[in-house]
Amino acid sequence: MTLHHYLILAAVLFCVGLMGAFTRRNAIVVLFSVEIMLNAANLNFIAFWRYSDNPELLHGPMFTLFAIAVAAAEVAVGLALVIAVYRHFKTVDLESMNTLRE
Amino acid sequence: MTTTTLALIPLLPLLAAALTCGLQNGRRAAGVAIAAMLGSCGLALAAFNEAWGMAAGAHKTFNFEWLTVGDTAIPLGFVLDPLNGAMLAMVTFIGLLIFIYSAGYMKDDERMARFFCYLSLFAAGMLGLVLANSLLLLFMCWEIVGVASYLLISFWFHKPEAAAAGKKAFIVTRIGDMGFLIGILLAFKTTGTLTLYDGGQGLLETLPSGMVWGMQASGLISLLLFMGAIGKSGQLPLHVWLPDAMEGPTPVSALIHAATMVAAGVFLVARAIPLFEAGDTLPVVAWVGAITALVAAFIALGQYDLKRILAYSTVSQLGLMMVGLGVAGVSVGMFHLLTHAFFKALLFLGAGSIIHGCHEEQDIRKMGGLAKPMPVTTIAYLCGTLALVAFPFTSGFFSKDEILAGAWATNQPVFWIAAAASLLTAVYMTRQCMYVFPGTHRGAHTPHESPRIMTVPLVILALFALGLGGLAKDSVLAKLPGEAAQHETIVIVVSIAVALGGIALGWLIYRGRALGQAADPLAVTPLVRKLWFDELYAATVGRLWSLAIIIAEQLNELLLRVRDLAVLLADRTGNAFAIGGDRKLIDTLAFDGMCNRLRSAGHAVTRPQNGFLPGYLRLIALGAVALGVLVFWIK
Amino acid sequence: MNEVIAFWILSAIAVLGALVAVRKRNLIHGVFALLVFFAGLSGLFLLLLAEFIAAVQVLVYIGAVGVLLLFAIMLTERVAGDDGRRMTSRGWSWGLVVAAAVFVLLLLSLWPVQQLSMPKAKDPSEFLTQISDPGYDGNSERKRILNSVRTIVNRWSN
Repeated sequence: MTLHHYLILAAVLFCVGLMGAFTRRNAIVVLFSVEIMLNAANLNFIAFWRYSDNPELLHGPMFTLFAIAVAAAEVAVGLALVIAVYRHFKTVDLESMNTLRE
Repeated sequence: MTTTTLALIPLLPLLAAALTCGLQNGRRAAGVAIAAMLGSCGLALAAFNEAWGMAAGAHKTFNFEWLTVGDTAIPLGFVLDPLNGAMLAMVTFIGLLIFIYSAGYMKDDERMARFFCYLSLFAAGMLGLVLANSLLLLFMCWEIVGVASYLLISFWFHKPEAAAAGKKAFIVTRIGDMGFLIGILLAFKTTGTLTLYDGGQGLLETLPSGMVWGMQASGLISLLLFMGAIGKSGQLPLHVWLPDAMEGPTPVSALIHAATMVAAGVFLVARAIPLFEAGDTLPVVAWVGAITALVAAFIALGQYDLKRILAYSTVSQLGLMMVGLGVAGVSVGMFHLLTHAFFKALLFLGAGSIIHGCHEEQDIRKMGGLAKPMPVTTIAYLCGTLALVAFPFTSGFFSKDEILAGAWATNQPVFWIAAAASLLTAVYMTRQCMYVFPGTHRGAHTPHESPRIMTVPLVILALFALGLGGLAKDSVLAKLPGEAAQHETIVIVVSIAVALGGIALGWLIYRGRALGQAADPLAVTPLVRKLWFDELYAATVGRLWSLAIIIAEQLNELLLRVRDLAVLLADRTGNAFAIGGDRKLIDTLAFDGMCNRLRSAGHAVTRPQNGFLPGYLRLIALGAVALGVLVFWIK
Repeated sequence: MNEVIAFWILSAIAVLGALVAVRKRNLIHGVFALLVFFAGLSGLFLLLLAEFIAAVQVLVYIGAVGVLLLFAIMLTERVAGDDGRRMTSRGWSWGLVVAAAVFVLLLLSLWPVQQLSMPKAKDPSEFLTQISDPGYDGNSERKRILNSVRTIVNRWSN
């Protein structure tokens, strides 16, 4: 296994997430996709860490831990927003949320 | 006095303005504003005390660096000398009285808190202006004062006249301010500093030399500064805003448009008088002042609005101050400024009390017989009138006498014009008093005396109006630069003669007339129409503007013609070559096609801004890709 | 060899899980697919010897985020999902194009990384054997965890 296997895998996962975020109408699915992208980035961190010269410094896990903590908070806030939006618009369809246009 | 204590004088009202702008409760706002003004007044009196102890012509400077841009430091600063010491004491003292009076006058207004906010802002600007030791700081405060004046004139903005008057005041003074600003820039260009006194390095110490545009630099700069003064002090030809400014609440008229703000122009000339002396432009000041004094006094004869008469009187008196500055220097002009501030504030507050007592009636034809129901106001008002017409041994007499003496010594035509203006002053004030006080009341409501909070300031001001001139004359003339002229007998005779003669003339004209019903012998059409100044401006400036619009419309018309012609030609040509081809070629391809293409291009530009969230997301990612390509590939 | 097999299996799980999660019409199914993706990724973390991160991944993502997502779905959409409406947003093909562009960019950006030859000794399998060597001068606690991790990995790989 080389570093490149992991990096390409992360790229594939990231783009799968990107694709989801770009193509789906449902705000919750877009949140899924964002989570997938974040995890792909975490995978990159860990892979780079493990293949680095001195993995005992634990840089990668540090970053990843931060990213996970922030992502968890982000999911909580994001879902709260989605629910608030749902109460207001009676839908979580992104296409109908265009009030900023006016 | 240190920089901090001096800075506190304008900062206290500024703080009050900041505090009161959020208040809803009018009484609380009045309390805050009056307390700040009281503190400011105490500090100002201390400053005055210190300044008055200085030798004539001495000054103390308190400069500090404001900001540094590159190598250029811009200093600001305060100065303290007898000139602005006296001005400070006057402004804060009259301001305090007017604040107190306003608390009574505005107590039923639901925007009372806002009113005190504006008043405090005005006081802050005015005090900063008086203290400034830098043309830049002076100009900033000058503009603050202008804004406050605008806000206060159009305070009752639901009245269309008030809103229009505010706009007029702002725009007309702006014309003068433009000259002021150009003068400041020119001064900076020629001397490299805007500080007035800076230990021998200041603008007034190293006067600008050399020629600018074929004129002596200091002369040109002083004329440009005078242009600002003309706008602010309502001198001809920019006086038109001041009478309209009477649409504002009466305390505003008293504070801003009689005692303090309009005096700012006079103060500016007094402050910058070394420039005027170096440029030899003081005769210009004297002539402008004299003509203003005469014309405004003339117009005042034909007015029916109580406050408008006083407004024209103010314009006229400001003209006399300019005459004083022009012919005899700072001391004489400033002396009249100080005495005038007291008696004109008194007259305005008295007018406010009368208007209040007559249920917001301002037309003197509907007044009359107020002496009995409003005794305190009447007596105070008569004191102010006597001072204004320069009745012997009131304060106005002493100061006007000095002006006339100076004019006699240096410029006799100006002397006669000023004397004529004084005569007219006595006539119109007598006319006004005849209308208002004796006889029977002609209005619909029963008049009543104003509350104590309004009459007490009147009484205090009346004492000053009578006594200040005689008491302060010698020390003012000694402390301020400029020398008073010898008093020729003829000057004193003329001075007393015009005052008494004017009163007698007014008395003879209006004695026993059926005022309010019969035609007024002095209110002839030219005077009622204010010598057609507004019409003149409408006919010149306004018409020029209309002309520009008409020309633009004609140009537009011409272009339409050309277009029609072009279309006709194209049509003919198309018909000649191939019927139907023209439609395809000219219309579809050229006109409509072009339009359509433009329209679709516009749509293409607006399409990303459609509120479609996934679209935004994609664009962001596209941007990231572009950035990545830039970083990874091109590099 | 075991790690190679484990890597391919886990990455297949992760990619398939992600794909299903973003393409499934039924949101509940989507969430479960997402959980599978998280689990696969956790396995990959273990394979990279980041055992603590793997544990956090399971706790935070599978435990907390998954439940949160389920609740959000319950509170908003009908559980059955998009109920026959169009699933994708307007102009979704453009989204695919942009995603592909990003992918190409990411691959391009890997190019300079390839030029840096990774030291062979840093291959995780060798690293693992190296630090679990009795002569290795590490603390025993860490060695114990790593040994247990190796056991798990080996068990999964087999």
